[in-house]
Amino acid sequence: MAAASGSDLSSEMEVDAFRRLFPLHFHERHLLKSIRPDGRTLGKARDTIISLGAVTSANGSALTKIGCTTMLAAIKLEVMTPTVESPDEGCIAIDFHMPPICSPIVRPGRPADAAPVVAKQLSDTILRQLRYLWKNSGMIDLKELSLVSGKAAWMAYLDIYCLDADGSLFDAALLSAVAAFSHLQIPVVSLNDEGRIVLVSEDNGGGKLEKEPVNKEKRKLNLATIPFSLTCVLHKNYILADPTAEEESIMETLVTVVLDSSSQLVSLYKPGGPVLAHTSAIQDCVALTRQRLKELQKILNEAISDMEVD
Amino acid sequence: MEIDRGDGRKPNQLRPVACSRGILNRAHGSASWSQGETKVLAAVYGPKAGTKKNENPEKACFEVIWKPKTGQIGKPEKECEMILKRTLQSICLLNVHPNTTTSIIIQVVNDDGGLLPCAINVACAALVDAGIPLKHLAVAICCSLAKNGRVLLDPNKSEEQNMKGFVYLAFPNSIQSVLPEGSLQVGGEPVEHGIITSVTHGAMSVDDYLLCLQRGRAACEKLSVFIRSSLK
Amino acid sequence: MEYVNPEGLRLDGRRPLEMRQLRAEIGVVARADGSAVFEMGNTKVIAAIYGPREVQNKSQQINDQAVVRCEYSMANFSTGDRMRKPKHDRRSTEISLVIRQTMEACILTHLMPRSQIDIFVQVLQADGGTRSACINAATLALADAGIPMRDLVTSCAAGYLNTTPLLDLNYVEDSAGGPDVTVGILPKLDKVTLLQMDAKLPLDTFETVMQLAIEGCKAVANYIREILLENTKQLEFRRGV
Repeated sequence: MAAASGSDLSSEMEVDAFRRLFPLHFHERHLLKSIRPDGRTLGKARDTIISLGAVTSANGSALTKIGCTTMLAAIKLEVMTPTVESPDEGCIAIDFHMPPICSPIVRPGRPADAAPVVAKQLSDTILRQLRYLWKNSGMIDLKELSLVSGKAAWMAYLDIYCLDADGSLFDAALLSAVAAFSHLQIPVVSLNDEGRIVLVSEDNGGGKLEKEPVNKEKRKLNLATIPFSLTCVLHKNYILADPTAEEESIMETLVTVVLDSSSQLVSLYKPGGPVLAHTSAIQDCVALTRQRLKELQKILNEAISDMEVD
Repeated sequence: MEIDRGDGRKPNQLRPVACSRGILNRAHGSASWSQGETKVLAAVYGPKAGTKKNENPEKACFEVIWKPKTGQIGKPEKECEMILKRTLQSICLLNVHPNTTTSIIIQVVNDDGGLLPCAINVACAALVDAGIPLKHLAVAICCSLAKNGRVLLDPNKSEEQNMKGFVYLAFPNSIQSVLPEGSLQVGGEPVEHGIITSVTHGAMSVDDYLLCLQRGRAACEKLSVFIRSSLK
Repeated sequence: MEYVNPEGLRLDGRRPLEMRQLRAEIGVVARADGSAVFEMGNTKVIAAIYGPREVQNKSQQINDQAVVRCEYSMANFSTGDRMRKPKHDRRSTEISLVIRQTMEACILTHLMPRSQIDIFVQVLQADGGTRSACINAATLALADAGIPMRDLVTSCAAGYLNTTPLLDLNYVEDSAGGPDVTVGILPKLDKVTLLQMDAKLPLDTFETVMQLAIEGCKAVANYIREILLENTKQLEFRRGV
């Protein structure tokens, strides 16, 4: 297999066969030339698209694509009674779904192994992040979801659906979650005569005086430090950023680094794997994540400003 | 040094560690591990013939079943299962028994912080007891970062909750090799400094993480001596 | 409640015989063998086909034809209030069965013995007529996967409210309690493969309503054919033929 990058159809068949039969050799040959089968350099992530407001039936939603990996996240708000321990805080519930459409490996009826793990990681990253903010910098966060202290608060249900699973699921899921939160529009509500919360519809808002909106100014959540993540694959001495599903299955050592926009390390996640991560590798992964963070921040800001123009 | 921990330990002091092997006579291998009030049992059955679907039949396959102290298995337990499975897969010689499945059952007896590291340690001990071929052992520890930036090793549950963040780390144990010194180094670092598993909770700066790494390594060296002596 | 106002317009401004805006896209899930998104107004579904592949449950294997399986599920955020139902409720089991039987009728299963075809449909937004939208999406996805079929299957619903037959009901009209006739046809063979209604309706009215739904199906079929033709042209172009 000398011609690893043939152009005519006959040798292309052979490349395909080589790829299926000796996947590790196939990838190592590419790595020798510092390039990957899809034409990326080692440290480069795939093209990323964020589009906000993809689901009209939700209060906030976002569709993100990293290469082929597609995530659809949507937030629905419901009014709930806050707990006694924290009367002026709302609540956020996060769930991650992998319906069988996303990958040939997922079987119907049996949930995917990866789904609960990603869901747990997501709630750890997002909720701890919020809790941490609130404790340390005095920034309101779960408190922003409060409506009437001790009586009513928002319960935010974040559901993320993976529509196409092609590697780096956590990165795409976290990005879609963050984007959905930044798109979240909190509806205006008011108290009615029986002291219950009712929605104020947009058109007759100014009509009745006694139904003063409870949350006139709190229409958006404040997200001060936003977490972004990058998954890398370690193989021998190579570090491959943003692996595809094929790369993940062949080279098994994954490292996920989550940094927030103030450059704090939120999570460094390496669940086993045959390659040991030494300090230098860790530092390289962190450096790659720093770069990626800037890219993602730019993409997210562009998506938000695009939406505001509309 | 000033003592600022609830139970009067020094920052680098671990809780009393105990390990015993071969406690269950029906299992192929078993072990118990306790660290302070945290106690975990592990049983190993296998290798049994055949692998599950979606697993590579050319290699040995592992199956981890996590039994919590009470109640049903939830998302956190699923995550622990996955981490433990991947960690054990990385320390075993998978080519010796291809197309087999080894089951590891972890029973939590009491959780007082640092559960995952204890589970990794006990699973290793049980694998050794069952005679499963291993490359090396995995030695795991929990390092936590106090609000004042101090690193405290092996926190218990009440400490874990008051920390800025904590890290579960697993390293390979130090290999007593016949090869000349320095031949097992990767980029100027000995093999036992490579991280097998790292799971963090809470935010910290990168430097703090590296500090945790350093302390964790030092502690794991001592722990690995203890494991070696208790497995003999 | 008035579903058709005196000017003859419906709640969303459509005429009684008007269908909602259709939109379709093929090849949206890269890892699937065939996939499609189908939108009817605010109803949006995504379908993916995996197969023909090895039968996963050997006891289900049939020696002279392929096994067709279908799973229908709704996203939690697809409806007005967040769904809190368990994943496999009776409604989705029923719709899975309906879609499976409808599609099985048109797939040439005898050409692919001892194999299995999985049809997965996921509702992303629900605004009435999810059943029809799912069948249309599944047809497109099956065509995209290159699975041999007798004909396309297209589906559309019609109802009867305020003594007016209405084509392609939305959620508000659907939940009004009137009859809702869902029809699936094989447009070229001119055969009906699916007919569902659960309400009372005089026979002659039923026939008009059903005729209306069939007209709707034909319109959908034309649109689907256009999309497939477009897709084929693009493939041709990419191959450089």
